Amino acid sequence: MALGSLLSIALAGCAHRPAEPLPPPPIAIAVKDVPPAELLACPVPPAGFSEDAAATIPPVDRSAAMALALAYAGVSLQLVRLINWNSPGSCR
Amino acid sequence: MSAIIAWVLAHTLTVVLAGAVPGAGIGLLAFRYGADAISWLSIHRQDAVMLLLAAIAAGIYAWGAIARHDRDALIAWGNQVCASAGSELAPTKGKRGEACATSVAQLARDRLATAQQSAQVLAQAQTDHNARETADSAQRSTGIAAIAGAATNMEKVNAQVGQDDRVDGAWFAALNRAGGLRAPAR
Repeated sequence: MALGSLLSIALAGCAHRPAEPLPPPPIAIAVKDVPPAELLACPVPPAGFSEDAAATIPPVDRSAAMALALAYAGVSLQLVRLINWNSPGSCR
Repeated sequence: MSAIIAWVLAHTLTVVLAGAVPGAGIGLLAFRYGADAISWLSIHRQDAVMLLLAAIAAGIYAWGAIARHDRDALIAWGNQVCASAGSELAPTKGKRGEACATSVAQLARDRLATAQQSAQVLAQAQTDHNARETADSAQRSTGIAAIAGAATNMEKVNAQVGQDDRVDGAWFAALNRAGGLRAPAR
């Protein structure tokens, strides 16, 4: 009886398999990564051309001026969107 | 499979030995003395009682050995668990297991709280992201429409410039609008 009981103790470990351990839960921490204020300053458009002037400008230069103006508008919009993405409602 | 066989063997052996040893003794007695077994027992009563007492004592000793083995194994296991939890099963101060139980419970609470807070942070991040996306989408549409309108206007005004390449205030106004520039200082 004693031998049997000792055997059953010694071999009891073989009878049950340990359960699979639970995976650790993900740890999430809100990190506020604020860029320098300079990067978050809304772009201020410069003053435009005087609208009561007249000039002679060849087509090539007119195209360049128009492209420059449209590129500035596009980049401004992109920058404003980026700033608003980072800190909603900052610009315009 | 081998684990099951070992388990069955261990438990069967216990039952077999517990039944077989006294059974064999009684059987041997009955076989040797037959009907006279009772009178044999009454003659050797003292020996039989001593034998029985010795058997009981051996049983109790074995039982105690098993209990001690169990206790030692449990304490070793407890020490291991408590060390894993950063505590001690039997600290020099306080009741055995008290501090350990507290730290294990604390670990479980912390784990739950961490999971809950993480879920909250992740959900909030998702909500914020969605809000940003909605706001940006709206600003993108209005901004691009404004630029496209100004560009169309610019093209129209530019097309009206004559062969002499003279541009007037209307052309500059369209250019200012295309660039989103401020009204010029007068």
